[in-house]
Amino acid sequence: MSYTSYLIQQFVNALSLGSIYALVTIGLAMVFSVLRLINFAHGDLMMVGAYGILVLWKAGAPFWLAIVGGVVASGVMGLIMERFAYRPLRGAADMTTLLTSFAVVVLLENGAILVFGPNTRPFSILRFSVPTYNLNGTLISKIDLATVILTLCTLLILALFIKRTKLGISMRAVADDLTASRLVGIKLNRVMVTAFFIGSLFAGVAGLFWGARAGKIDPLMGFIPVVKAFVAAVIGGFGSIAGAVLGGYVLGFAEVLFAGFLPPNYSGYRDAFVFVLLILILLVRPQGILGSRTRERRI
Amino acid sequence: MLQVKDLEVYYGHIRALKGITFHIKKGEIVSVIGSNGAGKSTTLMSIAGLIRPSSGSIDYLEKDLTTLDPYTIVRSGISMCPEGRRIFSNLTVRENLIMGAVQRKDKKGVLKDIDWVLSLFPALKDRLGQIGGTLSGGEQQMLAISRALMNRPPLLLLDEPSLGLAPFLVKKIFEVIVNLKKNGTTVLLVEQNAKQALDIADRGYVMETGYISLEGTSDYLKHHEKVQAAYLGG
Amino acid sequence: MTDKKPVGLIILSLVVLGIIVFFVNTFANSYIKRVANLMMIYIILAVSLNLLTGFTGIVSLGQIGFMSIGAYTSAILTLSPRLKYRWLIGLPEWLQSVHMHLFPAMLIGGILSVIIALGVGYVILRLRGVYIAVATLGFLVIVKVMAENWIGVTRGGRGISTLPGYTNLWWTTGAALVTIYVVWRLVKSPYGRKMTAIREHDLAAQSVGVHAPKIRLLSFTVSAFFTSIAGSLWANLIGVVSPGSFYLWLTLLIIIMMVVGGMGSITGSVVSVIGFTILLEWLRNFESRVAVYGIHYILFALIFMLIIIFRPQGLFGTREISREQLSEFMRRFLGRGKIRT
Repeated sequence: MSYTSYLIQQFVNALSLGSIYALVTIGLAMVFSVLRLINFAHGDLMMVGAYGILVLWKAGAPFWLAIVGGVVASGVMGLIMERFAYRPLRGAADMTTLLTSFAVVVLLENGAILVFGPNTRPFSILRFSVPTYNLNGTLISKIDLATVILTLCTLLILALFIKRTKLGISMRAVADDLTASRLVGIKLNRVMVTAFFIGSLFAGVAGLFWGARAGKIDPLMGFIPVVKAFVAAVIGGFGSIAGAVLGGYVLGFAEVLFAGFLPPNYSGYRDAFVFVLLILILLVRPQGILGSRTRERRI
Repeated sequence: MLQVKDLEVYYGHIRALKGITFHIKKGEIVSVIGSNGAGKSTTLMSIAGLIRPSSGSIDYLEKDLTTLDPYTIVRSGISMCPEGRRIFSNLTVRENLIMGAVQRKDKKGVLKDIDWVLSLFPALKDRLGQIGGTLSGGEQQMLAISRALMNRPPLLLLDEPSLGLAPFLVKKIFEVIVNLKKNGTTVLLVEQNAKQALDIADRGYVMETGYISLEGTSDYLKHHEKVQAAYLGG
Repeated sequence: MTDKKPVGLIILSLVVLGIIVFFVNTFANSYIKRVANLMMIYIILAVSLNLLTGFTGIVSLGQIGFMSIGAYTSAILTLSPRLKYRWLIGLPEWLQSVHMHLFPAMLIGGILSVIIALGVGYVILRLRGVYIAVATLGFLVIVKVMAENWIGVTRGGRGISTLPGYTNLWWTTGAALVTIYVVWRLVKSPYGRKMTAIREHDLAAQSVGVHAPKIRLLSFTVSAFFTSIAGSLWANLIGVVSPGSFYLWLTLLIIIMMVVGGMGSITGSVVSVIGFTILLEWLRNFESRVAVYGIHYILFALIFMLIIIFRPQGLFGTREISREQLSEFMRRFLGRGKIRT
């Protein structure tokens, strides 16, 4: 295989991984910017989506319905989470909600283990009979392509939403200045719930692609992605949607690069690398690529 | 129109408002003056619903506002332009105005009102697409007032609109306020700039450390020796 | 205003405790002994975490990383050389031939943890709030990843087993008492006041001359030391160390116990650990009878969420049990009003 082929393949690989990270990170960033909370259970929403898809598909639902159903399941779980775990804590310190989100992680993951068992399950809903396109010897995974294209479409829709609709602008307003938002009469509950719901939907979609990429899912699959999403958010500039997307792709590329240059017996260190990167960023440029120095949201 | 009675507000253990009573009649401009820490902003924030008073009542058109949340209060027709402007610095001017009208359902009306507000403050006309945070202080103040006006409020609360602004801008803003009164808007104006405030107000109240120390028509206050000594540099 | 130190009461309690420990250690079955030992270890963990998070206000999700370091150090040092030659081929010769007993292994682990804590703390502790939480989580993950991948030293995912069971109730109770004592003294000292000052308002504390970075580092390091001790004790109790033992669930468990007991209350942590240990064992029994596993995870998470919503200060808040309360409690419990202070 020629070197260019290899590069192209890795490029697509990174693009696909970056897309997944971007999807997860957007949800995390959206919830953070509007509700001011770090939801570590966000990754588990991915898991809920993936399992939802699996359950529906195994039950015989057509391909499209299974996917939509699973993603909606993520959204609904997100709503439940917001209503019962986080809304009672509105106004509490950041730490409190952070710790609570860990408790939610335990609840969801162990709940899934109870219901589905701890073992991994095959996830083949996006299995193509011919898994790759062959361009002059370069193999491009169809799953990767689907991931990238669908992600870009979703991002476009999101961009239109937050720029053109009243609700979308309200979300940005709440993220910008909470008190002023109350003063102009924005209904905080509605905005916050919407942000959470959309974020959860995105997590569900990310769950689909993550599962498809790995070919399998398990109850604990959500944890590493959400932590990496946090890193991606910090890289891009915490709290902003654009930063989340940028950070997601940067992280995807960084990871693929790191894995590519590492000798194979060190590949297990990949996850640790992500954290070293995080700590470096926090020390050198904590506001991320797109952030500005004083980005504290005005309460 | 607005009747505040024995309003008490605590910040933790600190008594910020010690039982104040005042009223505003429809169509008036009422000014509250006083130095820093007197409790003027606290009063406005209580009316707007951001702060819950510990006792007392705020009656607006027969409704007691003290138990309502800001969303409902805005719905009832009260808009506040807070101290320090607090525009949405990451949103454009146009988006700020749209947010001011967030509760309204009449799209065409909102667009017309954007034009109206731009006629009041023409300086904003060319800046509709500009991000709020990049505006100058004066422009931000104009934007803040415009945003509050977008809801067509019968009662407008203004918290120190002249703060930090150049004199000609202050004059411009006060002209706009007078215009608003002519069009039927009732205004409650909190100001440190006593002279300008009393010049356009019908009546006024002087606040000191949480209570009202003087009240009367603006003429009366303007010529009162205490007011002259403390606030008018006489 | 100084209350007379209730020396009599303290000595009496220690003697009583010693008697209890003796009986349990000598006569109880191995299950009860294991639970008691674990309880003491959790007490060490909860109290150390409380020092860092409850009193100094630093939310660290990575302290269990130090437990891992202490555990692995003890494992490497106490494992028989014969097995070390076979399993831990990445170790240098002189290390492989070492065969230590618990106490020196514990101390070395502790010192190693302190050194690492100083380094990590220097880098991380300047961050704020959420970022510290995630950075320390990063530390936890990095430690785990290293344990999984540095196969020559840690035997990777298989872990190191057949460790000598040096840990007994005397060691664990003693260590717990030392931890409680040190943390208590630290918290009641001027350092303690500075810690709470930092917790309440960092900037304000610095403006009155509190050297925040130094205090934070002190808290972090002391906490790391005792957490490491707990790890060493754990290793020689359970007999096996593996990367997965020192990861998220244990982290969350200790946090839950600390929060429910009350952040800022040593007594709270102790009482909470006792309560949770009993509950945990009961639940484990229940689970095996009903053949439904994982209930205790869910229940603990729910308890945590309920407490944080309805009683965020935990059971004890920031109070410690006072002499009067203790005598009152003992009087009612023991039925005799003989404790005179």
